[in-house]
Amino acid sequence: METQHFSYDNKIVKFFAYATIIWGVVGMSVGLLAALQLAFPIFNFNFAYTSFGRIRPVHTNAVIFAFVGNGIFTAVYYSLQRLLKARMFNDRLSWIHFWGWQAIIVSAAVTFVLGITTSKEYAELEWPIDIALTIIWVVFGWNMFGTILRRRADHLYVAIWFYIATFVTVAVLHIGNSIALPYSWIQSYPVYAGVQDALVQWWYGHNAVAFFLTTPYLGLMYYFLPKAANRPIYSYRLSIIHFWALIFLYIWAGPHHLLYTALPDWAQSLGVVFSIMLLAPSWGGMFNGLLTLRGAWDKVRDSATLKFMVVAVTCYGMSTFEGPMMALKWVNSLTHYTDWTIAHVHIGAMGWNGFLTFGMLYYLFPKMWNTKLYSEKLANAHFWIGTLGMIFYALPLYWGAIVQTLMWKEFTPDGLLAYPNFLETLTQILPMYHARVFGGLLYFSGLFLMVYNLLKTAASGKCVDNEEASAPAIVTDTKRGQSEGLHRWLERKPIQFMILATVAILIGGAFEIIPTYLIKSNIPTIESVKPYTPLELQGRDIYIREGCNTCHSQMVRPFRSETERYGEYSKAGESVYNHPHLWGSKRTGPDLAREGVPGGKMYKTNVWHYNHMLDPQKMNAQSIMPKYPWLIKDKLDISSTPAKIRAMTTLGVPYAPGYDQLANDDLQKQAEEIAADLKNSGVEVASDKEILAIIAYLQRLGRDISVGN
Amino acid sequence: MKIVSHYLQGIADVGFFPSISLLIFFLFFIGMLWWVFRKSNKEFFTKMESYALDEDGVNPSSEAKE
Repeated sequence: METQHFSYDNKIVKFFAYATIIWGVVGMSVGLLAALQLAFPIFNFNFAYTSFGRIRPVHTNAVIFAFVGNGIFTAVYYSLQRLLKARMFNDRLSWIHFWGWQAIIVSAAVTFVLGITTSKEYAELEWPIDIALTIIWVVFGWNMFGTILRRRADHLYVAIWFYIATFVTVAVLHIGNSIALPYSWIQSYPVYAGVQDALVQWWYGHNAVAFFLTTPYLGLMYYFLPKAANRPIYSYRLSIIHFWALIFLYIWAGPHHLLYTALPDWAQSLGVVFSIMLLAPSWGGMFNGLLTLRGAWDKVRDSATLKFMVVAVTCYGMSTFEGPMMALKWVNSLTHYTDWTIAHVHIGAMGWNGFLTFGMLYYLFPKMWNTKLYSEKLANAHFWIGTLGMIFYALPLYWGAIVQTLMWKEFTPDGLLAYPNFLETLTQILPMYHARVFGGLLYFSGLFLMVYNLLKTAASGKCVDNEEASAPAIVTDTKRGQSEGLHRWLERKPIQFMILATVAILIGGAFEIIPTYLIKSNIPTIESVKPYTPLELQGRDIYIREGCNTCHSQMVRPFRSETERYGEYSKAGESVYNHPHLWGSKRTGPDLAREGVPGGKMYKTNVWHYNHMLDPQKMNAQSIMPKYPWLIKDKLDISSTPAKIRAMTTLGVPYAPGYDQLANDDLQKQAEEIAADLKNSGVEVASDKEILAIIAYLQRLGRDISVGN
Repeated sequence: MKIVSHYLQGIADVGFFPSISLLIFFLFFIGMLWWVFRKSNKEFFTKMESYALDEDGVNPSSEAKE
């Protein structure tokens, strides 16, 4: 057999590794700012571009897509070449992928601080960037499949199956959830509304966790853990079972983000059942990782790299046990909307993704720079500081979540809410928010130990950009050999493998999504539910711009503790015109679904809203809500109203024909009414300011159904 | 393009969805178990478990094919 000589492209790996580190620092520093803002609202700086509602998506997207994203590509570009005995398919594609991805991250950060967002969690990017992201993702896939097709290794190792599943599923999810109708060159409305939008959003959101934060990192684990431990993986058999079961099951579990909401029961049950089953393949992966170290645990004592990896896999096990538990309806009734969710995702992000990334980088740098790690002691210090940081981050939040949810639900012997004022339940757990800052700060400082250690390591060696290698040429044999099992044959057939993996994930997706398209009727279930007025629509878009839905849900669950506090529980028919839905997933502040019901439990006057947006701390000294002085100063841009009305009409919202041309007249009339009411209350404000739109929107919330009743 | 939905419970026998999906997965999983525990795979699996450790260009899987 002819031996072929070629070289591995280490330069691209080096760049992705540096990008991982840089974005890790950026993403976590923004996270630290967000944590500070929740503990001390002064850190919002009374400035639009740094207020929590805009900072939060910068943090989540920077950590997920910038830090973990570049971590994925570091792992893929390094391991794929070596597992396939081939250089990446095309260097130019590699660099388009690299710079394209970084450009998308920068444009994401810029648009989010400007308030340009779709409001859909982890899919906040607006349509032009979504399209760019799709193109760059295809470039990545093209480069990966080109390499697979030009390989010199006969079989595809398990890590590559996970990379393939990642590529196809992220593409399906991203396109499926991002379908939107643009109304300007940068902004759009999603085509889905209400229940349908919520279901599609969490089909995406849950599987972003599955196929961006989990599957590629399992691939990373299957390559780097055996390498770091110098041990074969525990069970190839288990890896086959856990791969197919994992990708098949994960896609179904999205509805567990919507338990006790207005989502129909059958869909909620579907989410619960599949979430619980998901425990099995997830733990299969964890066992396969941890048992790879059987007989090599003594190495863990000496190697910081292995310490990071072991704790990462353990955190994966913790998160994937916690997930199914939180998907049990009775547990979810306690944890949903609380900081339990935040703690849960940070065990995943800091522990599983963060620590596995650190372990990989500590392994890669000495290897690529042909040297020894500058300081094993520093790496060990990083490990302990990071671990302590995680504990100080998560434990206070778990504690705070239990305290808060029990306070929400507590009744006096007379049958009244024990804590009718939402703020009481928040001030009770503020010390936990302070502890979270400390935990985050610890974790973040550990990162700098790594940066210093890796830079010194790189300085002590030399990275070979093109590493020489040789391997026998592949003998292409498409027929199944005698006694060659189906899977063994499949592992030689990447295209067939990709198609099967796609089928596996599409089945779950189809079962969830298709029923939402089977609905023939376009008549809203609740007759009294009407489209928003132009001013309310503009107000809704300001609500989205400022990220209000990050801290305020709009979904009263059918519990007595919630109907007592907020009013009538939410119905699916109420959000039929909501492109996007704004049900929210966390209550840092109270639910707003019934905010505008006159005489309701949550009702406030126009002047209260005005003063509250201007200075929440003046209304409630202990409030942690940011101040929004710019809403009072800035003029409302009404030039966009006709285009917005036209877009909504196209999406099926029943505005009268030609209403787009009349909308601004109605808008101004309503703004003047609110301004006059404010004047009567002693507040002078011009009728063209943004504050009037947001007040109009808040006063509309829940009003339709109360009229209907 | 009118994409306005309301209660999905309007679909007749909607309970069919979770039941059939559970059955599909169960059958799929049983089939997979039967496949991976066949004896003929053992030798190949052992080789593949060490696959990531192979750095010298040897192709451990090509010998396993018959």
